[in-house]
Amino acid sequence: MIWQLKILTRNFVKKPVYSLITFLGFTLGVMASLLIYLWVINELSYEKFHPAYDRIYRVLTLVREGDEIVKSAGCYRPLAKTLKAAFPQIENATYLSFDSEDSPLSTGNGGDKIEARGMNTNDDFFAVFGGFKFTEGMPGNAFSNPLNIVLSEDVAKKLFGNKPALGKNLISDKYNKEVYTVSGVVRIPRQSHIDFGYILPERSSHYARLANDWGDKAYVHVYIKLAENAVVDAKFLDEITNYPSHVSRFQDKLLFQLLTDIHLHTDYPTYIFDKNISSYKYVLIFSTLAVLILLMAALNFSILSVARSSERSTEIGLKKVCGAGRTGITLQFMAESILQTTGATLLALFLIWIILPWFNGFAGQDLSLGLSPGFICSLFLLTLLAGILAGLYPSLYLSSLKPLNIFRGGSRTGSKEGFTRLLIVFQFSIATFFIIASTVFVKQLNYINGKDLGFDRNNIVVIPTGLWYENKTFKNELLRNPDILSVSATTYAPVDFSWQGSFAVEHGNRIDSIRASMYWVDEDFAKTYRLQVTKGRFLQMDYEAFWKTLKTDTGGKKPDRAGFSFPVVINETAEKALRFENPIGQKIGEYVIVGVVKDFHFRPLQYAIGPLIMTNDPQNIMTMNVRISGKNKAETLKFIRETYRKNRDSRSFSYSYFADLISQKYQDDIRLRNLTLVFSFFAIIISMLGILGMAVYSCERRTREIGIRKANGASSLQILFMLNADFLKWIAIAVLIASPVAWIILNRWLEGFAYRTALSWWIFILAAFLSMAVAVLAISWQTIRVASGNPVNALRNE
Amino acid sequence: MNSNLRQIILLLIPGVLLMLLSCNGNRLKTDEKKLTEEILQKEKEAEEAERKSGEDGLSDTLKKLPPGFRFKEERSVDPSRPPVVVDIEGSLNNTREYKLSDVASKITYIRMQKIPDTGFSIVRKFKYYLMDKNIIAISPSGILLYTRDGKYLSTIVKNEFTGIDVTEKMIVVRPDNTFIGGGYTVWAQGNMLYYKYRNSLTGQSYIMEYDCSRVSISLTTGFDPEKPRQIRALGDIAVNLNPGNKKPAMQKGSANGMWSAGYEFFYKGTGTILLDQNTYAKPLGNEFMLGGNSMMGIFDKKGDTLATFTQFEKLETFSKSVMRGTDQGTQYENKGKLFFRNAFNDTVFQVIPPNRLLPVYIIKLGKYQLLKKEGMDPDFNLTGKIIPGTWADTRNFIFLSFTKDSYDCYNTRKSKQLKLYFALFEKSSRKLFIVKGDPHNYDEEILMNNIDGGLPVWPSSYMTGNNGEIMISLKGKELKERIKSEQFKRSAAPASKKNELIKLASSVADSEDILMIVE
Repeated sequence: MIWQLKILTRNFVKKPVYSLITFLGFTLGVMASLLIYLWVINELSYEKFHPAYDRIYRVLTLVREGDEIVKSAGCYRPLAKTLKAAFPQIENATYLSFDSEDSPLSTGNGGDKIEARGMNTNDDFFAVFGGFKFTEGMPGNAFSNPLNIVLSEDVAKKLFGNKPALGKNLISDKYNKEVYTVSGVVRIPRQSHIDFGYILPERSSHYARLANDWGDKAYVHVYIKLAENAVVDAKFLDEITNYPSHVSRFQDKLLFQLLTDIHLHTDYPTYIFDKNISSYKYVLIFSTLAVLILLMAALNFSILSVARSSERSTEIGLKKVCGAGRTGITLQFMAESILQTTGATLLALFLIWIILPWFNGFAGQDLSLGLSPGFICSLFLLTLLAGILAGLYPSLYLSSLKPLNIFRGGSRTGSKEGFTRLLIVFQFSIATFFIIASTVFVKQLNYINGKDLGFDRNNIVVIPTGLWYENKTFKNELLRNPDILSVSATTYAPVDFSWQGSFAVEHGNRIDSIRASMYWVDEDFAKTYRLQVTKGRFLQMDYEAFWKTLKTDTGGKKPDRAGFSFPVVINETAEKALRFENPIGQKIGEYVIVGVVKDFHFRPLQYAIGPLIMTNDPQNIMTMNVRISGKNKAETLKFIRETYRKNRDSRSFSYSYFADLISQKYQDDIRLRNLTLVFSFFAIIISMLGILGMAVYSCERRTREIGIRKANGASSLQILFMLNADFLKWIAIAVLIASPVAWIILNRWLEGFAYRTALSWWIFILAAFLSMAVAVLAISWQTIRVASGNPVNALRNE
Repeated sequence: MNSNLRQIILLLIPGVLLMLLSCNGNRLKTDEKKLTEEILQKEKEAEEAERKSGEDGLSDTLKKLPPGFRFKEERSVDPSRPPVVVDIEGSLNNTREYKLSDVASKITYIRMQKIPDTGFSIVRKFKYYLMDKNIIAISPSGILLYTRDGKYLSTIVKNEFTGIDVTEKMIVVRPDNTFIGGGYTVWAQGNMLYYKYRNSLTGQSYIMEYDCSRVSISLTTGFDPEKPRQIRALGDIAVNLNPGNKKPAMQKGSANGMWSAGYEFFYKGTGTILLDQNTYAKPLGNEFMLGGNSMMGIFDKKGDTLATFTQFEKLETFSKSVMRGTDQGTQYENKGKLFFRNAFNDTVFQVIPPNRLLPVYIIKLGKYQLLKKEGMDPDFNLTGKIIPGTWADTRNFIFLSFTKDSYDCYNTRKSKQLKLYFALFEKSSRKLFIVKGDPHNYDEEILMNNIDGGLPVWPSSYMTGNNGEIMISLKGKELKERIKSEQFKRSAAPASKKNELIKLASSVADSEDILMIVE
C-alpha cells in the first residue's frame, strides 16, 4: 500500500498537470454523483419517518363521473371507522377533513388573530401517523377531550412565540366562537405530504355532526394502517374494494395507495391539500445522470492513462523483466486508480460539506450530509466502483504490453488512439446533452413566465379573509383608496384551481354531461383580473335585475326554472365542449349560463385549459383579490392592512402578490432547471478537463513535429488550427450523437406541458457552438503556448 | 467459473426472487384496470337487465296473442323524445372547415392476422364489426373471428358459391348463382354474435347465433352430398327464416338479370335483423318498388307477421322502361337497435317491436326535396334537388353526404356535373355544418387526418362501432403509399404520431389487412 502510494506520489510530482486533471475530474464527478445520491435518497425518504410506514395506505376512490371513470384521493369520511370495524386486517383507520386556509385562531388575551389551515380527524390519526413528533404534549392525550386542539409547530410559534403552548386556551371563531385547549404541538417534517395548521377532533361540537356524513368527499382523505400480520387474500381484496356499495348508496370502488408512493407515484389530480408531489421520473433521470457524470470522470482517468502508456511503458517493461506478472501490474494500476478515487472522494465530501447550504438554497432542497452507516457503505461502494471503472481498461491495456516490444522501440500506441477518441466523443456527448437540456429548461421556464395567461397578473394583492357573506363592507372600504382599482372576492386566487365536478347537460332531449372545474367568484372578478367577456355578461349580485336582463338576452324567452337556478359564467373551452348554438340561458345541471369569458389559465401551464364554470356562492368565498395601481405600493399595502384589521377583529394580516403565487406554482420546474444547471456545470468542467488532458498530452507528444513544421515555415496560427482541428472533428461527432438523443428526451419532457416552447434548431446550434468553444478554449490554452514557442527549443529538447 | 459456485448462484437467484415476492405477500395491492373493467361491466349488466326486462314483457304479451293477430303500425312521435331535425335546406351556406381532430382524438391501428385460407385473399376490403372482446371481419368470402388485437381465432362461416364473381373492385352476381354461407350483416349482444346464413340449394335461411367466448371449434367445410342440409357455419340456429322450406331462400332471376355492384353496396345494407329475443325485422321493399304496400315488417321467431309498415313512396303510374337509381335510403344497426330511412323519405326511424317506427331524425330538405317519381325518372331534371347519400351515426356527430342538382353515378362524376357535399351534424348543438371543400373535386381529402397524417376519414353507416368508433378497413399497401405521399409530408400532425405511422407502414406487408379505429 505504502509502495503504491509512493509510486502514485512520484507520478503526481513528475506529471502534475495530468495528475491534477484526473484528480480534479474524479473529485468533481464524485461530488456531482454524491449530490445526486443525497437528493435521490431524500426523494425516496418521503413519509418514511412514520413508524410502520409500509403498512399505511391512502384510500382512493374510482367512480364513473360523466363520460369518465375518475380516480381520486377524495373519500368518504365514515369509511375510516366502518372499514376498521368491518375488517380485522385493518389496525387503524383515520381521515383528514380539510378546512379552508382562513380558519382564524387567537389567544383571546388581546393577542393577534392568525389564519391557519384547520383539519379535523378521528382518534386514530396519531396511531396511523405516529411519525409526527410531539414537541409538547403526548399523542395519547391529544384528543382526549372534544375541545382539544393540536397545533403545528409553526402555528404554535405564531401564537405563542417561544413560550409553551400546552394547556393554553385558543379561540376559533370561524363558524361559532369556540374555546379550545392546546393538547399538543407537533413537528411536521418536510418529507410529508400532509400539511396543517391545527387539528381538531371529530368529537368537537362543529364536526361531531359530520362524523357519519357520506356527503361531499372532495375535502376528505382517508388512510388505513394494516395490522402487522394482516392476511391480504383475494377475498379480502374483493370485499374491501367493493365496500362502499355495501354500506352506502355510493358505487365507488376503493383503491389503496401505499403512503410512501404518494410523493413519487401519484397519477391522479392532487388538490391544494397535498404538498410535495413529485415524480419518480426525475429520480430515474437524475440517477442516470449521476452514473454518467461519474463515468465521465472515470473516463478522464482512462483516457490519460492509456494515452500516457508510452511514458510508463519503460516502467512496465522493467517490472516485467524483473519478474512481475500481468496480474501484479494490473493490480498496481487498479490500486493507483482506487487510491486516486479515495482521495477524490474525501476531497469531494469536504467540498460538499462546504457548498451544501448554497446548493440547498439554489436547488430548493433540504439535503444534509449525515454520515450514517448506510451512507458510508454507499460511499465506499461508490469509490470502489469509480476506481474500478476508471482503472480497469488502462490496467488491462498496460499490463498487456510486452517487454520485447517496449524495449525494441517503435509505436507502442497501437489502437489506443481510437479508444481515447471514442472516450472524448462519449464525454462531449454527455456535456452537449446537458447544455441542450439546460437551455431547454431555461427556455421553457421563460416561456411560462412570459406567456399571456389570459389575464393581467401584475399588481394584484391576494388576501385570505374568510369573510364569506360579509366581504361587502371590507371591499367598499378598500375601494375608497384611489390606488385600489378594483376588488374581487373568490374561493382562492386563480392559480391552480383544480376542483372538478360532472354536470348534467340537456341538449333538447339528450342528456349528456360535462366534466368541468368549478370556481367561485364574485361580480368583480372579471374586472379585477381583466378578463374579456365574449358573450352575455359577467355574474351579477342583484338576482332580480339579473333575471330581468337574462330575459332580454334570450330574446324575451324566459329560461326554464328561472329564479331557482344559480347563474354561471363559463369559459370558451366549456362553450366549445357544450356546443350550444347560443349558450346564454342554457342550463348546466342546476345552473344557468349568463355569460362566456375568454379562456384564461386558471391552472398551471402543465394543464390544458379545461372547461370552467364560475358562480357566486358566498359560502365558498374566502379570498380577496385587490388590484392596485402600482403607485405608492407601501402606502396602499398599509391601507389594506389597516382596513383588514379593522374588519377582521385585528387578525394578523398576510398577503401575497398574485404574480408571486403563480411563480410558486413553477417551483418544481425552477428546481429542476437549477439542478440541471449545476450538473451541467459539472459535466462541462469534467469534459473540459478531459480534453485539456488530451491537449497537454498531444502537445507534448508532437513537440518535435511542431518544431519541424515551424522550422519549415508554418505559422503559429496554422499550427494552432492543425491541433484544434484534430480534436474538433470528434467534438462534432459528439454533438451529432447527443443532439437526437436530447431531442427525443426533451421532447418527451416538453410533452408534459400543455403549453410549451418549441425545441428550436438554434438550441442545438448553440449547444454545438458551446461544446466547440469549451473544447477550443481548453485545447488552445495549451496549444498556443506550444505553437508560439521557438522551434529551436522544441527541436533541441527532442 | 467454478461449477460449484455457478450452482450456488443459480440456486440463490430464485431464492432471492422468492424472498422478494414473499415480502410483498401482505401488501394491499389493488388492480385499477380490473376495477375499471368491473365498473364498466356492471354498467353494461344494468343496461342488459333493463333490455331483458323489456323483452320478457313483450314475450309474455306475444304468448297471449290469438293466432294471426297483427298489430296496427305505429309511427307517432314520442313527445319526450321528439325527432331531431337535420336541416340541410337551412344549412347550405353554413360551411366550416373540419379536420379529423375536430371530431376525434385517437387513432389505433390493428394488424389483422393473415389467415392461411386463400379463399379470403381475393377480398379487397373487409367490413368490420367491433364486439367487446372480438373483431368480426365480414367479406363476400365469409365471416372471420378475431381477438380485439387482431389475432385470428376462427372462421365462423366460409361462403361457397357459384355464379358470383368476386373481383378486387366489385361483386358480379349472375342470375343462375348458388350460394351457401353468411350474409354481410352481423350484430351482437354481449359475446353472442348474430349473422344470417343461407343455402340457396336447399332453401335454408337462418339467423345464426354464435357465442364468441366459447372454446373455438373448427368449422365443417366442404359439401357432403349425403348431408346436403348440413349447416357449414359455426353456431346455432336462432331463427328459421324459411320455416318448412315453403320456398327457396332465393328466387332464381331471369337469364338477363346479371347485376354487379361495389363492395360498399353489399356492406351498407342490414337486411333481416333480430330486434330482440322475440322478434326480427325484415325490409319488404327496395327503392325500385313500384306499387308494393309495405316497406318493413316485424315478425316473431316463428315467422308470423306482427306488423308491417306501409310504404308511402310508391310509383303507381310509372310508365317508363328505364329507372334511375338515385336515393338508396339508409339502414344501420347500433347497439342492437335497427334504424332505417326508406328511399325518398325524409325520416330516419328506429324500429321498435312489436309495431313501432319511432321517428328519430328528420332530414329537412324543404324545396330541395325529391319525390320518388321524379328521382327515378331518367328524364327528370334534378337541378335544384338534393339527394341524401351516406349517413353514419356516431355518438356526437352524424357524418352525412348529399348531392345537389344531380345524382352520384359514373357519368355525372366524369362530366363533373355532380356536386358532392359532405356535412357534419353536431348532435349537441343540433347544427349542421357543410364541410368546406370543392363539391366538384371528388378526390378531396375529407376529413383531413391531422392526428397522425394517415388516410383521411369519412365513414359510411356500416363503419361505425357501438361506442362511436369509426372503423376504416385498410391494406398495408395503402399505408405505404400514404406515407410516401405529399399529403403526409405536408401534414401538420405531430411528428411523433407521424413517426409511429411510418414505423407501422414499414413493418406491414402490402396485402396485410389493417383495421384503423378512430375515436
